[in-house]
Parts: sequence; C-alpha cells; structure tokens
Amino acid sequence: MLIDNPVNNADVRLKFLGLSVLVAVGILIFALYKIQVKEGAMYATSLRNQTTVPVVLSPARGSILDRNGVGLAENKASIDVDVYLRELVGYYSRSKKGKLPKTNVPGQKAQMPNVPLILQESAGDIFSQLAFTRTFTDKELLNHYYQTPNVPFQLVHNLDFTQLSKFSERTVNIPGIQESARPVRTYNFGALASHLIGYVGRVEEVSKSEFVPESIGKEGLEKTLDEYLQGKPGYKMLRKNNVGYILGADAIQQPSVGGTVYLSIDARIQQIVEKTMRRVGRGAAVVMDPNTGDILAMVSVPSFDPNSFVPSLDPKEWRRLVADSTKPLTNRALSPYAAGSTFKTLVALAALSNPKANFTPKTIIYSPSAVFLANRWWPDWPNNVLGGGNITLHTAMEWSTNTFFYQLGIRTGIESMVQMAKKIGFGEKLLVDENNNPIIGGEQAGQMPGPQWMEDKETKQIELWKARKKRDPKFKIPRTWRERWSDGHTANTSIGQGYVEVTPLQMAVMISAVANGGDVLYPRLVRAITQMEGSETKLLKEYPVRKRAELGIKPEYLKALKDGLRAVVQTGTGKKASIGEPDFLISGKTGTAQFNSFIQGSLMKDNRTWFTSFAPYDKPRYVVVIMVEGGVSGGSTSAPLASEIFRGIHSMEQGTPIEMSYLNPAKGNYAGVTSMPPVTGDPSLTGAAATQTMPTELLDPSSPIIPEDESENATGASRTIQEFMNRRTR
Amino acid sequence: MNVLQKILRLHWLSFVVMLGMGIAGYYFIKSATQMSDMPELIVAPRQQLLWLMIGLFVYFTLALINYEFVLRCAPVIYGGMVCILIFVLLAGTEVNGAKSWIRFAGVSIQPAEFSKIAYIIGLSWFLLQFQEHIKEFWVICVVIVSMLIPVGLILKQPDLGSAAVFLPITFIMLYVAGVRKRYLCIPVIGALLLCWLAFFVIYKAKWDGTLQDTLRGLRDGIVWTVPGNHFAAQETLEATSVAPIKKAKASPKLDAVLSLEKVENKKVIILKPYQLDRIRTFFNPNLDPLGSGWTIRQSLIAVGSGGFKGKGYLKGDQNIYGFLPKNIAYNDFIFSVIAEEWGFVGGSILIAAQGLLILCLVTIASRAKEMGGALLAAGMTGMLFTHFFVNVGMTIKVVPITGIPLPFISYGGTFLVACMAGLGILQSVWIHKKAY
Repeated sequence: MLIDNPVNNADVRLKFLGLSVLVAVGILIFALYKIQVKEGAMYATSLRNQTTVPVVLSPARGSILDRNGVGLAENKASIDVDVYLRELVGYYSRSKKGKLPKTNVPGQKAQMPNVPLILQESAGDIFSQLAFTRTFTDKELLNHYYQTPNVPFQLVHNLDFTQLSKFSERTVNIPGIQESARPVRTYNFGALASHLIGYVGRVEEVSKSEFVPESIGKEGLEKTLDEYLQGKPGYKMLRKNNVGYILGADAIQQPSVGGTVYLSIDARIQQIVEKTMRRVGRGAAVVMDPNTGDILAMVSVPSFDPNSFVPSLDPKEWRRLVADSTKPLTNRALSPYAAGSTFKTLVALAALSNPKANFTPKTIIYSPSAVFLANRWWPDWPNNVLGGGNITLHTAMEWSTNTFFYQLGIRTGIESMVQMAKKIGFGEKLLVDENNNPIIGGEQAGQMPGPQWMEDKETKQIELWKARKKRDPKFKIPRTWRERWSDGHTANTSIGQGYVEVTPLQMAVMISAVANGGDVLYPRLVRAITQMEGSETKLLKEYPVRKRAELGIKPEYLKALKDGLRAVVQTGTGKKASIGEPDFLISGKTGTAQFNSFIQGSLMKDNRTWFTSFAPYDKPRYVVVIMVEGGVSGGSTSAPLASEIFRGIHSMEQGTPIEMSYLNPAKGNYAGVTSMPPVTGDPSLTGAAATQTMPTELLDPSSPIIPEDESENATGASRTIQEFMNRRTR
Repeated sequence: MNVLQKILRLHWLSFVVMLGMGIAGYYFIKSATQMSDMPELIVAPRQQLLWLMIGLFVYFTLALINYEFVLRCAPVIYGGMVCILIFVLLAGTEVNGAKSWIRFAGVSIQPAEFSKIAYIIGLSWFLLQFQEHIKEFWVICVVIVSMLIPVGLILKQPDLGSAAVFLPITFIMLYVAGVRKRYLCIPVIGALLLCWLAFFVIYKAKWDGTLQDTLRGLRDGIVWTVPGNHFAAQETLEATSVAPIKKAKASPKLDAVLSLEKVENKKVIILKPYQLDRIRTFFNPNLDPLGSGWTIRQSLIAVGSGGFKGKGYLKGDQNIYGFLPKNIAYNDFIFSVIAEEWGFVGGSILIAAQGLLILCLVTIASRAKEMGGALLAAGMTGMLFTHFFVNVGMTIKVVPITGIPLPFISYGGTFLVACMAGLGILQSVWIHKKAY
C-alpha cells in the first residue's frame, strides 16, 4: 500500500532521512577529528597546565671549607612556610566564580590580582593565631607573583617545632600553602673570615625565563665562586585536582649539590689572628705560607657577621653598616695604604738586584741625622741615636735609618725600584687566576709611583679638565705646573712616603719572596673546588702554586738582607715582635706612614703602622703582615700584634688545641687617632717620625663614630645608601 | 506465527548494537564515577546494569506483542502520559530544581522520558487515522496542539532539553508521513531564524530581556545580513571583543526607524539567565571560563587531550582530577569521558555505532508493513537521532549545551528502559515486516 502510492512515497523520504543521519555522523566525526587529532596537542597543553604545578627544587649550595676541611660556610635546614601563589589565587578565583580583587602595580600596565588581600583572606587568621611575624611587603609579594610564579613564596622562615605542628593542623584546607624544609646558608664561625667568604642574599633582579636561585653570592668568594657553589636546580611536577589539592608529585629531576670550595685558609690561624686583631679599631693582617703563597689567614677589622645577611639583611642594619665610617664592609687586607718604612725592604731589594747601583750589603753609606739632596735637607726620624753614621744595610734596616735610604734610593734610581715593584706586584691585583680574573672582589691594585706613572697621571688629569671644560664652558682649567718626577720624589718614595700605596697582601708577597729565597709567588686563597657526582668526588677546578717572578738577587745578598730583618726584631725597632722561642726566631720590618684623614669633619693624624715579618728565621714557614690604622708606630703598635700571632701559631704547632668559637663582628673605632700636631713644614716630607709622643686618646674607642653629614665619608656613605635603595626599588 | 518464529525473525543487528552499547555504557559509567565518594554515584554502574535487565525484559515483551495492538492502545497511552505528566507536576520529587521525578517504592523514574515514546505512539496512531487528509493544514494544527500539551507540561517542570526533543520527533514523523513541503519549511526557517537571533541578539548584543538590546541586536543582525554591508561588518564581527557593533557601521536610517535611544527598557524574560549564558558560551567558550564556560571548556580539554589513541580505560585525567564535573560526567557528559579514554578511535567507533543503530531504525521504517509501523520507526529515529546528535555535539561544541542523555550509554534508568521499549516495539514492526 505504501509502495503503490506514489504521492505517499515514504521510501524516498526515508532514504533522505538515512542520508541525513550519515551526514550528521560525518559532521560529528569531523568535529571530533578536528578537536582530538588536529588540536589535540593544544588541549593536552591546557590539561597539563591545569592539572600540574611545576615546582623548581632549589639545589643545596656548596660548602666552603678551610685547608683542613673545617666548614666555614655550610647549609642548615630551615623549616619554612611556602605559598604557591598561583595555586592560591586560582583557588580563590574559582571559589569566587572568577571574581578577583585587582590592584595596580607600579610599572605594570595591566592590573594584577590583589595577592596580599587574597592571602590575608585565605590565611590571615591562621597566621595571626600562630603569631607569625610578617617579614615581607605587599610589593615583594606582588613582584614575586608577577616574576616567579613557579617558585613558592616563603612566608615564614625558621619555624620551631610547636609552631610547625600547630601550623600543619590548621592549613590542610588551604591549597597552595605548605611547609617545607630548605637548606639555608650558615656561617659556622660568624664573623670569622667574613671579608673573604662574603655572604649570600636574595636575588633582586630576575628575568622571567631563567631559573631563579633562592640565594646568590653577593660578596667575597660567595660571589666570585657562585657558579661553582650554586648547584643545578631540580624540577618536580605536582599533580593537582580541580580545587587545587595537591594529589601527588612526579619528581623529574633532583637538584645537585654545589661544589665544595677548599680554601688555603687555616681556620685555627684565622681564629688566632681574628682574636688578636680585635685589639685595634681598624686594621688588617695577612698570614701567608712563603713557600706556596697560601694565604693562611686574612683578617680585616672591623668586620661583620655574614649570618645577618641570610636570608636577607634588615635595611636598618645595612644602612648602619654602610654609614659606619670605619667601613666594616671593606677588606682592608686588600686595600692600599701608605707603606712607610716597610717599603725600605723593596728599596734594598732594588739596589741589591741593580748592578749599576754598585751596592752590596757591605757598602757603607754615611748617614747623618739629615742629608742635603735635591735642593733641600732631608732629616732622619728624631732620636735615631744608634742608626746613624757610617753604616751598612744591616744597621740601616735594624734602625730604619731614613737618611741611608734617601741616598740608597737615589743611588739605585727610581726605575730600578719600579722594576722590582713590578716583579713583586705592587700596583697590581694579585689574587687572580691564570686568566687574570679576580678570585675575590674588592681587591685594589694600590700604586707604585715612577716617572712614567706621573706622566700618565698628569696627562689624565689634564684630559679630565679638558673634558670637563667641554661639558661646562664656565670651568677654568687651573693654572698649575705640570708635576714632573724629580730626585725629591725618588727620595720620598725610598722611605715609603708620598704616592706609594701598597696593600697588606702585596706586602706579604714581598716578604714571602725574601723569606723563601727569591721566588715571587702569587698568593693563593682557593686551593681546589670539588663536586660530588653520585658517590664520587670530582675535581672541578684546581688552583696550583704559581710563580710570578724571581727577585734575581745573589743568595748571599738576600741572606744579608734577611740578617738585617732579623736584627730589627733582635735589637732594632721591632723588638716587641719577639716571642722568645729559640726555635721560632722572627724577622721583620716596622713601618709607620704619616697619614691624615678627615674624621668628624676635622683633619686628624691617622698613621698607618705596619709590621711585616716572617718566621722561623732558618726555614720560614709563616709570613705575617700587620697594618693598623691609627696606630702609634710600627714597633709599638703592630709588632706586638705580630708577636701574639706568632706565639699563637707556635703553641698551635706545639700541640695546644685551638678552640674554635663563634665570632661576633669586630667593632671599628678611632682609637689612636690624634688631633693634628702644629704643622712644621711639609707634613709629607717630615719622614717616619715614628717616636713622636702621642697625647691621650682623643676618642672613646668603645663607641664607633658616625660621621656628621658634612664629612666626606658620610656623603659617600649616604650616596651608597641612595644607590642601594634605587637598586631595590628598580 | 509462534514465539519461536518471532524470535528468529528479530532484527538481530540492531539488538546486538544496542546491547553492546548498553554493556559498554556500564563500563563507561564505572569509569566516570571511579573517583566519586557520593553514594548515588557509587551505586550508579550497578543500577544501570539492573535497569538494563529490566529494559531487556520490556524489550522482548514488546517485541513479541504485535505493534498494531500497541497502536490501537495509542489514545489510552497518550492520555495516560498526559495524566502522569500532570501528576509529576503535582506530586513529583524535585531534584536539582526540576520537579521531574516520581519516586515509587524506592525507585525513581522520569516520566518525561517515557512521554517521548508515548507521544511517538500517539502521533503515529493519529497520522495513521488521518492518512488521507495528510496534505490538509488542519492535521498539522492538531499535531502541533497534541505536541504542545506534553511540551508545555515538561517545560513546566522545567526540563528544556526533554521538551525540545519533541520538535525534531514531530518534524521527522510529519516528513515521513508526507506532509506538504511548504509546511515543513516553516520550522526549518524558524530554526534558522532562532539561530540568527541567538547569535545577534543574545550573544552579540548581550540581550538580558530589555527591548533596547533586542532592537540593537536586530539592527546589527540586519546590517550584517544585508549583502552590501557584509564586508564592513565582517571585520567588526571578527574582532575578538564581544562589544556591540559600532554605530558608525550601522545605517542611520535604520536607527531612526527603530529610534533605539527612546525605547523603554522594560525587561521581557523568556529564557533563564543560565540558559542565555549557555548560548553565549557556545559561541565563545572563553567568555567566562570559570563560570558558565567552565563545563564546555573542560569538556573540550577532555576530548582534545584524548588525542588519537586516548589515554586508556580509567585513565582520563580530566575525569579523575574532577575538572569534568562529577555530577554530569556519568550522564550528560559521558561522551567526554569516553573520548578522553579511548581517543578519536573509540569516539568515532561510538559515533559510528550510534549512527548504525539509527540507520537500522530507518531500515525498519522502510520495510514496515504499513504506515503505522513506518511512523513508529521514524519517530524513534527522530528521538534517538536528536539525543545522539545533541549529546555528542554539545561535548565537542557542535551544538550548545543541553542536558539530554546519550542513548544506551548515559546513566539514567528511565531513559534506558524507554529507549529499549521503543526499540522493542520496532522489533515487532520488523517481525511483521512486509515480504518482498
């Protein structure tokens, strides 16, 4: 019936219906193909983004050990509370149906979620209940959210056990907040060798793409060896569900521990020297092994406690450190100072090595209390009774006779001195590796004057003036004589005055060369860097003993010079350095450089007093260089310090155990600084007037002086603060 | 014909496909509810299996009864259906804001699902009775009225999805019955018009019931549709923002005629806000990714991340981690779970199987002994086709999200039994098919 009725031909319509079904199936399969096969990867990425949280696992920073393996900088575990900000914000947004409080961030065009508010609403109660102190600003929180969303934000540091258990009970329902143990840098002996080791701090400027370590070396070896100390970060993928609960973790890569740095420092000697140097307000000491160039101890006073920089320094404390005019952050052992009489050793070396000088240890030079040279009289230091007359190098060294060295300097000539200084490394940075890269920041070259040096200096000054004139047409180039090198300069340089500036380390290198028989060795601070790979220790880098030059002096001449240095301690100006041990005879040279500095706005007498020495006399194993700012004289201020250090080292060698203790930072002061004496003549030409009687201490040594605003130091310091603040706000 | 002969004459292909999907459904539901801790979800797979048994009983019972007897009972069935739908409104149980359940002796059923079958039987009977007048307009009027009665009652529950299914069922049955083409054009044009309105008024003009929005949407739509303006407006439409088309692009004359600014902003609300949101998020799933766009976005991620081969049974991350909401993953969004686990391979096999089953129904219709059987088969075709196309389509963004289940696979006992009952009747049609 159906078939026979052409009008009601349902068959055709059913065929059309069947066709429509096929078309619909085709449409669905095509759509499915498009989503699953063509765009599948895109959706898989979306899935990964919403079900996983990538977390960076911070590597543990490598340790810094002394030459015997005593840990100076290591890690300890700190229990922190972390918040994964992206999770927290995501959860908050979902629970509020996508409505997020927004806030403006300076420097960003788009508005950002108000993370501080969200954190406050999510966890504020718990935090106030547990009395957590808030150590971060809203801005830090926002910056962290913007810059490093994958790195958890550390809300609280160093939870104690009760806090931890209370905290764990209460935060189970807040996604993104969890406690974690992480390695934190710790300096086992506080201020011990703080200038060498430096400190770590938070990374301030970060780029979004790269891994951001939790801490980065900011100063000292922590900074220069950062690439070795930082291990490689690890990664971990956390799986989370639709409301942000972490369901599990797929660890992909474990972080590696950073390299271990072995220093040349001997922590025991460092401890002895640190404790000794605390007796002065400002100063530096270097102990060196003359046979290898190993720096066994290097101390600068005042110092700081690097632990106070971890994880970040209180801005107030930072401001105090920077504003402190005694400069606790400066490593004085690597800073240049007027050398004074210790420089005479170099003059002697130059003369002995220069055949044209026609000088031997037996050469007698008449040295009255004053000599006439370069059109003026040059006096010896007052009351030098025993060191005058017809004397040889031996006596001249013993009594530090200025008039002898004026003449000797002119006799050998400035060029010869410059050559010798170049061999030793005066005017150069010495703590460098094979490629001349500094091993530690903050080392200064100092300066060794000479005719060429003066030529360059004057040319540079004139060029500076010209450049200034170009910028500022009102500026008038001063009408002044171009300073040229003269015998006067040579004479003045011969006693370490004038333009000579030497670092205690350079001085130690020179004395080492004398002590070891003529080899100038590069100082060595780092012996090796190793890294654990699995169970094996791999040598990352080795720093071999490196010879810099040879003095080129006949051994018998050098022996005579050493005899002279021995006489200084035996009978001469450095008697106070002796420790009275026959097997540990000390040789050395005192030095007192006249110096004036602006302290509290007025010019003050602030001598640099030196003692450079080595011991034992026969086979020297230790070189000790002491430099004290504001001391009375090398013999009376620095030599006793060296004596104490030698005594400590000697008893250590005899087997007395050295008690290693945590050191608080040494406080700086202006002890020994006196007001200026009435000026008689040119103060720079009065020679090493070492024995001048000093009035009572003007300033209370117990309280460090904060300079007033008009003082040079203070303006310098406040500018540094300004720079620091700028850097932080940038 | 005795029982054995009848059983031998069953349409076995459709039975195997149906049963296969029913059993597969059990495993899919098990996977979709694997991570749930809600009691009603944990028992869901076993309940589905139970319903499948009941369904098979109903299936064979109806297969062995002559369908012509069923057709003769049509007025009673239709009347009973209307009564039950009214009863639901009076004494039904409310679940998720819809009063569409009857709870009886611990068993919950959804009369709306059965009403579709009842309606198909009723309409088949009616069209059979007035076969000679099929070209006359009044027949269509009566059909529309008889459709609007259950549709109205179901909308009252409210259950928009189930109510909407009546439209394609009616359309296909009228088409197969041989209604004049011009009458059939009306719903087609109407549907296109609705799409047009949905895009321009609801999506682009962000209509929220005010007349001004309506007019603005209409204006923009007209501006875009008129050929001369097409390209100028195209650019604006392609711009990612959903802001209404700039006035400058519109014709000033049109504005004057519509006098847009003077229109009173009185709200006329026909659709619920969430339904408007669904329509909008269909056009742009990223409009509100955490709100109304959440489901479609997560469904797309589930389907898309399945890739070609899928992640493996019980290994769908989107489902396990709860991004695909648990309370819809085992019924309306079961296809997302399947496509994620079985990939394009499994997804297209399922689509093909559904298509095959529907084609079986079309075959049954074409081999029917007389018009009544053909209409029953056409109605069932319409119902299964609509459910299948809309359900699968909404998970892969071919149609807007509508809460209707996937036949034989989605969890839902009433619908499963209703579909199997319908197919049972069709088996009877097949058993009594015409001989060539």
